[in-house]
Amino acid sequence: MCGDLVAGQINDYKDNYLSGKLKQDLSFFKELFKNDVIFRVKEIAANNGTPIKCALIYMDGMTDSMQINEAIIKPLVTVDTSNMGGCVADFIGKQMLFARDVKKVNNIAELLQGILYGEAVLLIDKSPNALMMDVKGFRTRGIMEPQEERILQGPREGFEEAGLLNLAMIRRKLLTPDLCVEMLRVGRRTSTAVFICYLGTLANEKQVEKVKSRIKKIDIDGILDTNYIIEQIKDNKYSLFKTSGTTERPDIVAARLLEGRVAIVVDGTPMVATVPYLFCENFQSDEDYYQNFLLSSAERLLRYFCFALSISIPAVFIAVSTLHRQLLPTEFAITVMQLRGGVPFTPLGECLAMILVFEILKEAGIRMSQNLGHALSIVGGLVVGQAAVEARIISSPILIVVALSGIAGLMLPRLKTAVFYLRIGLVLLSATLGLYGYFAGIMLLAVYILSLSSFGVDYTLSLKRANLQSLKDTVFRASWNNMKKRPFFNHNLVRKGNEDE
Amino acid sequence: MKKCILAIILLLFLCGCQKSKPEYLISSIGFDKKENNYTVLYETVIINSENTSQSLKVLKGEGATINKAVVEIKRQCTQPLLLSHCGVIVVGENVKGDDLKQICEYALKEEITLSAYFVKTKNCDKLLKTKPMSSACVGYDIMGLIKQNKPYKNRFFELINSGFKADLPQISLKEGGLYFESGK
Repeated sequence: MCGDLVAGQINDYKDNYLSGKLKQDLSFFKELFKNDVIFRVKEIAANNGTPIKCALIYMDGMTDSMQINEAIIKPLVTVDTSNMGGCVADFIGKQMLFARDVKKVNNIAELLQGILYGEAVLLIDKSPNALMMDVKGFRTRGIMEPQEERILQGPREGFEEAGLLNLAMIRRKLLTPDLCVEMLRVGRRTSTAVFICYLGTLANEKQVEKVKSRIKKIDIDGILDTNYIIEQIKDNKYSLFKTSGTTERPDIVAARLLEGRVAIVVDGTPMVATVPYLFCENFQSDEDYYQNFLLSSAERLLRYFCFALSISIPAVFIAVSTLHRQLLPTEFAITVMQLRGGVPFTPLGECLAMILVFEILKEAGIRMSQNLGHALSIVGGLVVGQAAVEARIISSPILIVVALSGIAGLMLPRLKTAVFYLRIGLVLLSATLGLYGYFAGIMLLAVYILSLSSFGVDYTLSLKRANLQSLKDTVFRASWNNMKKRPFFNHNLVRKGNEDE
Repeated sequence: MKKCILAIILLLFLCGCQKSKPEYLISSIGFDKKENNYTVLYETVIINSENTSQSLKVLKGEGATINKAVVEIKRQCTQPLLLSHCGVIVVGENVKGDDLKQICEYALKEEITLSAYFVKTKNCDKLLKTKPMSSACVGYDIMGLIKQNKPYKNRFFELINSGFKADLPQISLKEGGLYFESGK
């Protein structure tokens, strides 16, 4: 063993092994964690028959002390070892310890990985192998309803920060051996556990391989959230639109796995990513499938309409009120001219300023304490809105247009980035080129959306296929009786059996 | 990225000219001719942004040509004229044939909507200075009158299509109000 080596990354120790000398191995670990106050060492000298000298090392707070005492220390001290023969590590692991998962390990990197992940390691004198036991016991936040994905009907549980617990929650929904879970370690310094989940008979093997190979290529210091991974593995790196789904809800992940998608669970965050992701998913709500399909379909249509409204209404208003005033009905034109009188700024300046103010208020509302919500509404509504109009700093039509656009945009939380940039982009085009600029922008947007892909799957796949079955879960949500097939990117298209047979 | 930022900055410079200034909204235009001298009248809705009210003013210009008469009107204006909402073009009795063609050419140049109505009257000045009855201005009162007496092919585009030979309806003043008479 290269005992003097002290490096920053676990991978640096992948070629190092235990020496079999307890004193030397223990001093190596002590040296390695000399600046870590939660690192614990318990030296044990068992003498019930054959004397055994060993040392238990673990991280306090990440392990369950009850399990350490009852399943490891107590048997070591009390069990009779007089008939011990052969390999010491095997005897202790198989006949003495009560721990639930005991592994024989001699590689330093593996041992470090285990210790840092909440496992306890028993170093045994005169044995080249140590025993690694699963005694994880760190505190978790507990299962709660996700704040950002509240629903009125359907399951309420949400993921939490412990990756293994999240996997258990997915597993509880999918009671099938077909569910495959593979683990990768990402992050040079965090060595974060990243789990790839998919249903073996449904997921496209090429997509699974693509996800795995892209994750393996990530070379970064640390992974603290799913977005660290998603930003590095998606097809279009600078895309305005999300090309991978994220959710905090196990039911959503299970539903997506059942459609042949791949889920990426990252330890330490409740956000689980699913790929591939289609454009129409931006307009789907979590409870679309838990309520009447007629209501879900109407709500989906409303979301498409709100998307168009949110990006278009300021742009169209700017174009019509500055360059194409002949298109306004005369009475409306008179009203707009009356209300704009005395305002010193251009409609474009007003519009951009109001969009900025709306975004500031929105951001402040998200970050601030809930108790200050009323104060924000008063400041936002009365001071910024009414007082600014009365002081002729802005005109009321612009205020109404931006507010309407902003409220419509709030219906589409998954498209907030795209809506923000598109709104401003189209406003600039409309202010310079009028309605020609607006329509040019819309055409460019259509071309852009059609060119996007998510892990090799066309972003607008379901809209491109002139097939009724593919449209049953896009703009509308058909009844479960009619949704007989899965999306096109997976192996097995038959979702629903023929009930007549 | 630098190019994108530069493009956005340039776009912002371009839109400086698009400030919407307060304007005189022209609701109707009158054309009359007397002894080779043109009279042009603009019925103007003056918008008062202070108390959100409107007032009317008829601007009058005279000249040897239509353009000279319009220039005369513009000399009286403190704000730009917005002609795109002009709904009615009133022509005097003496305006015929080539004069009508000249008026249409002027209207096309000023981008007056092709759906504007053409009507004739005995005295343009008197008609446009009448007090409006039901609308904000006389021009929209005349439009209402024409719409009540459909069908009548007296729209701008219909006049062009007919080779400026359409029979225009006549609007006259009777007992202090407007009165529609068929031009046939």
